[in-house]
Amino acid sequence: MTDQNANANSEYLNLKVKSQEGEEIFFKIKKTTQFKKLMDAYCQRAQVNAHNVRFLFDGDRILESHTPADLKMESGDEIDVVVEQVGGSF
Amino acid sequence: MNQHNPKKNEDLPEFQEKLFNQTVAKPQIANKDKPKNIVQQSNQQNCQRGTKIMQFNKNQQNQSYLTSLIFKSAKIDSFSVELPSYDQQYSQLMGILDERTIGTNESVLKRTRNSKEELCTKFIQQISYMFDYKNEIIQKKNFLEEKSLRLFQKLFKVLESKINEIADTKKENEQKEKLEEKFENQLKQKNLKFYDEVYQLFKQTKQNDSQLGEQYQQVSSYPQENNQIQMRYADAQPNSQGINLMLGQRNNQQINAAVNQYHDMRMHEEQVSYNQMSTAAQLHSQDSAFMKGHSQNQQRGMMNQHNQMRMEEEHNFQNQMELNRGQNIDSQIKENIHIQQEEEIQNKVASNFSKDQIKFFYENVDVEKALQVYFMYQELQENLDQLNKDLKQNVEEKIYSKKGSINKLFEELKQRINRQICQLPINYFVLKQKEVFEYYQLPQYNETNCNIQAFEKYLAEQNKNIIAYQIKFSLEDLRRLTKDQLINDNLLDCYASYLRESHRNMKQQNQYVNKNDMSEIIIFSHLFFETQYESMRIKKDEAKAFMDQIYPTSQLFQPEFIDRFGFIVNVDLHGIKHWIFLGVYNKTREIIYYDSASSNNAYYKNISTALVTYFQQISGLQYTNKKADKCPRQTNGTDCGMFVLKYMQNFAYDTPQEFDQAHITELREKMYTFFPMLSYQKELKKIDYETLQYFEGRVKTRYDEIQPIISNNIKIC
Repeated sequence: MTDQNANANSEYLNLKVKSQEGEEIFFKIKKTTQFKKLMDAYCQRAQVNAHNVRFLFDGDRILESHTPADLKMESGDEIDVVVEQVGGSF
Repeated sequence: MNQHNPKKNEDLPEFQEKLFNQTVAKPQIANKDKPKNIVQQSNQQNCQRGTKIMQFNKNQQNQSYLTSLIFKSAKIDSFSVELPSYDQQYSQLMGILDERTIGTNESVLKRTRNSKEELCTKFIQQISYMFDYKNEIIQKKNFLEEKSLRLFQKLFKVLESKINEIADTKKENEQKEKLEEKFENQLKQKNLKFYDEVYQLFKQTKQNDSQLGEQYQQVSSYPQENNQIQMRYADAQPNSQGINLMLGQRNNQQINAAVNQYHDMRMHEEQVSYNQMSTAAQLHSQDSAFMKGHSQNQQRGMMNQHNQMRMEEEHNFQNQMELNRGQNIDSQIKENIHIQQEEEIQNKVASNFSKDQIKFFYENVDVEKALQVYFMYQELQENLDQLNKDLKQNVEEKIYSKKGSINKLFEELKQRINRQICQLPINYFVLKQKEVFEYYQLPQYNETNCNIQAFEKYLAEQNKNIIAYQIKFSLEDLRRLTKDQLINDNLLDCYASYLRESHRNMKQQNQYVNKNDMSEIIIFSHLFFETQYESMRIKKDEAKAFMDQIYPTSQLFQPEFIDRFGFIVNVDLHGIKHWIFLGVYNKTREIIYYDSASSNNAYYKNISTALVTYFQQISGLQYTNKKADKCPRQTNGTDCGMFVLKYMQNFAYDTPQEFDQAHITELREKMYTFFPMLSYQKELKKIDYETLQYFEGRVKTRYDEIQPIISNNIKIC
């Protein structure tokens, strides 16, 4: 915990990205960098198309242009990843 | 009247001489000095009645004036007339003659004298006729007065007789009451006697009790033989009930049966009897209760006899009373009607006038006319009341009809607003569309094979993004709006959040909506059911926390804040995905289920029941779930997302769910420009509300109305 507090004060944040299946990947990100970097990194690692994935923070969508500072994120916060939903019919 | 004429002729010379002696200066004094007046002599009979005597000055010579006076004044019985003096008339006549005929001849003088005499006689005759006529009038008047007097006497006789009748009936009633009181007193005395007897018997039973107690003590010395009796006696209190048990059940049964019979009889009589008898009945019931305690043969005999006696007496009395009452009631009803009528008349006459006043009216006023006037007045008053009532009714009806018409207008306006045909030309929207397409370098709707990567690159270079409500649209998202493509969550969620804002704007712009009504609508994105469906059932707090981020759940179920809210749900059944929509009405507490694919009951039950229980646990309110009455169905396998989009739209704008598959295919093309337009509007705010409405598919231009008719009817060869 002491490490996290120390990090919170610094420029960097530790964020947890959690998929619907429950897989967790941790990212270290600057407060002022846009989320596009994080999203691209996640998509590469999880081998998903960026168009087919939604990133959520507290139920709201995160845009590529957002920064952690915009959303007032703190170290240890969780980002949910939801896959695109499509509907047809039976 | 013919007798008068010769007299007058005889008196004429004297009359003439006196007239000649008169001085012109004092005509009134001369009149008073003359008792011998022709008119007075002729009307001596009337003078005896003598109410007033009129005296006419000789200046008042006009016959018409005289006659008018006589006819007008019905109260004048006699009057005296001073005829014009001869010398005056003569001198006048002579003057005229002197002027006309030169010189005076004796023949002329004779003629003039004869003419004078003729004039006098004629005048006197006329006066006498007038008096005859006056007598006739007076006779008629007397006759009428007598008539009215008789009428009033009749009226008063009737009144008096009716008043007497009322008094008589009152006396009769009093006598009857006295009789009843007497009978009651007799009954009370009898009751008292009965109590004394019963009390003595009770004393005897107590003595018997003590004797029996002694016997018991004797018996108790042999407990083995009489265990049962001991037990019974020990359980029972040392009163007469214990004795009953000791003596056996036979007597008890008989007595009870007798008492019950008596009771039934009493109950029946009580129903029939009047209130005055209720006290006696109460006393009697107390007796019977008291009697239950006693069970000896002597008592039974006494009581039965006594009861029979009493019953017979009371029965006879009641029968008499009933008969009397029956007669009385009929007569009373009739009397009451009479009394009411009499009282009305009495009140009308007596309240307004005293007896002296009524007498005064006999003498001075035409009573029939007065009564007529009175009744006229009453009728007028009734008419006035009716008129007032009619007026009130009319006004109310008018108000109601106006309210109805206003409501109709209001509804019409609402419909017009909802289904507006846009006044703007189609070109206006086409230009706006062009503007947006050029800004984002969007491919045309039909060009599905365009290069996506090039499009993305262009936007990245230009620093442009199609973003609305924190959702970034790629060209792939937009291409989902082309034919036979599946709709994804981005489009639906974006449109849901747009609807919330649009509803708010519409309320501000629409002047016909009540400004105090601040209620909103909310459509939750599919993420609620996507992420919270399981926690909704197990960990309610998590689901509640998710809702609280969007809108506080404490206010979500109150119609003042949220009129209605909805959920977009993506259903996954065995790997096949499907969009449905749930609308929640807070006013009616209903959850309505919209599904474009028919006959899917499996997940309908799961989802809606889960929601109902979840709402009840959160808010404590009971919602009912049901399927939508009007719910258009899709005819292909790909349009469910578009149908949900249209359901949402109608749900948000409170319009009926009336559309078909053809409308959905049109809507797809419009929506292709709608989403970029939204982001364009957010970024530059150059798009107005009407163009957004048009590309939402809510508003039609005239071209859109005419175009399908033309295309259907005219085929270009």
